[in-house]
Amino acid sequence: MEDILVANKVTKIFGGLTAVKDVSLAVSKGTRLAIIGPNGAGKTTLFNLFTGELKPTSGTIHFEKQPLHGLKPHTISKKGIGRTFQIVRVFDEMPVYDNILIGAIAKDLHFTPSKEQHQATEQMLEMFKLQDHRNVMAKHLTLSAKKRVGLAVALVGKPRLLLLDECMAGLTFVEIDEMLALLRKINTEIGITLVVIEHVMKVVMELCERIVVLTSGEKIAEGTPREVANDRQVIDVYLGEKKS
Amino acid sequence: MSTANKIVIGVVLLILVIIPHVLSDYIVYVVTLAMLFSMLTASYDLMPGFTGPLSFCPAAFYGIGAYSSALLTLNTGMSFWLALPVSTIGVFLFAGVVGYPALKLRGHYFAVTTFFFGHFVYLVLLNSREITKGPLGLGGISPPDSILGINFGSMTAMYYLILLFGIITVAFLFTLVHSGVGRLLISIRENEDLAQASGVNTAFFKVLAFSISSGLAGLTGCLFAHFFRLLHPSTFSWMTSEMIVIMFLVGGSGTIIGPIIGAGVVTLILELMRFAPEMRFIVWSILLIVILIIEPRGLAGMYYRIRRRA
Repeated sequence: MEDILVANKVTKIFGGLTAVKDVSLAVSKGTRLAIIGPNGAGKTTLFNLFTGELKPTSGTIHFEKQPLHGLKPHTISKKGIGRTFQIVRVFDEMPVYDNILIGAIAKDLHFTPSKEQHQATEQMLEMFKLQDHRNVMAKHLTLSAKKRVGLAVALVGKPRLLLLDECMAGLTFVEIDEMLALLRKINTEIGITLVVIEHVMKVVMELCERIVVLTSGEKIAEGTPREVANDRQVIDVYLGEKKS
Repeated sequence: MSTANKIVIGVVLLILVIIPHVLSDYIVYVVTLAMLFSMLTASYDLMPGFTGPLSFCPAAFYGIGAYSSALLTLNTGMSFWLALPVSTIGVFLFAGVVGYPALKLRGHYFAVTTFFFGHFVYLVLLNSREITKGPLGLGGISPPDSILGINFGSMTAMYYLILLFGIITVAFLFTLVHSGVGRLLISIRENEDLAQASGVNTAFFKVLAFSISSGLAGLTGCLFAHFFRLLHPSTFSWMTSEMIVIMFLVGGSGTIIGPIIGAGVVTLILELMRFAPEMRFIVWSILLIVILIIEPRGLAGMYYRIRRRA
């Protein structure tokens, strides 16, 4: 399978702190990859390097064989990388419908939004079960609904790669299962490659085909969920021993 | 637009058209000033009301527009009808040059920068005595050349000209904020990082909004110059910017119509209080505080709240 995203020896240094050190990874097209690791391991920094929010100190990042490093976030977004944020972000004082519509017109601006863009927005409302909230101000929504709006805003722009930063954090078990089903649908039916940062191990183990483990900015392991779960080093720094 | 809104707008326009035929020259003069301030405040609304960054220098661009148009007609003999678009576009481009570096700053830092830029423009107008005549004031500005047999030397003709430009400005702003571009501007106000991650070129759209807002202030300045025919730097000082910000807050941000009402209300209070010049600052300060406590979204916010309850 062709690689959609390739990072080669990416390093990010903030003053005296090396947040990400020589990380290399490749994501195959159409797959689901998880990035896990303890707090402060540099997972979100790595995402911000992929989306252009931060510029790597050294190393290269390629998306569909085109270099990404040095580009602005909005250019990278237009190339086909969508993202959600760790701390949920929506357009607060704007109805849910308009929130999602922004995701569509940001990619392809018309003086009046086109019919296709309205249709795509309606599809998103249906897919994320937000029809009842279409005229509600986004700031009044529950956390779970806000996360779905955030996902819809990213998805309506038709990305080919979706970066999800802890999209399960703070959700109840039922909501996690719903979200899991949605993510599977996005991956298998629409064919979008997923890269997730996640702490909920159930999600990581059930959803993802490959896992990358970061600690203190360095990659210490990569492999299938089974391989990673049995890796001595990963158990020591992150997973912990099973109580007997 | 609902039928009720259409009726209200129709009635207001009708009243504005009738005023010069019914009321005294003094009232016509006050209403003209109110219309100029309405244009200024409505175009100012595009920046903090829709795009987000708070700027404190609308009066600077108002002044640049006024002086550039006045100096063009005085020194080069250019017709008003050419000087108007030239100075408007000039201010639009100049605001882009100022806004591009300034808008790299966010939040308070941008606000402080515009505050000092506004004061800087005032000082340049005051001290470039060879060009602007500084504190003596720039007089002898001619009214717009007559076209179609209309002599703009009269108060009534000038009133209708400004009313026409006011309607065009407000209609333009309404179309803009309800278009796709307007939605993108609002997305920047609501969450700049998310807008950027969704593919909005936030840097470009912020400069664009700043330029449009300033360009329209320049247009208003140009009309003011040829209406008042005497320019003094103090007209474009911090006090005027402050007044625009107050009108904007009293009216309600992000509504276009709110700032227009705010401009009308504040101008009215200022004129009614002419007998006690010191008192009026106290009165409008209290008015501002009271309105912001009762309804932070200003008079427009109050209107929407009442209508929702009804």
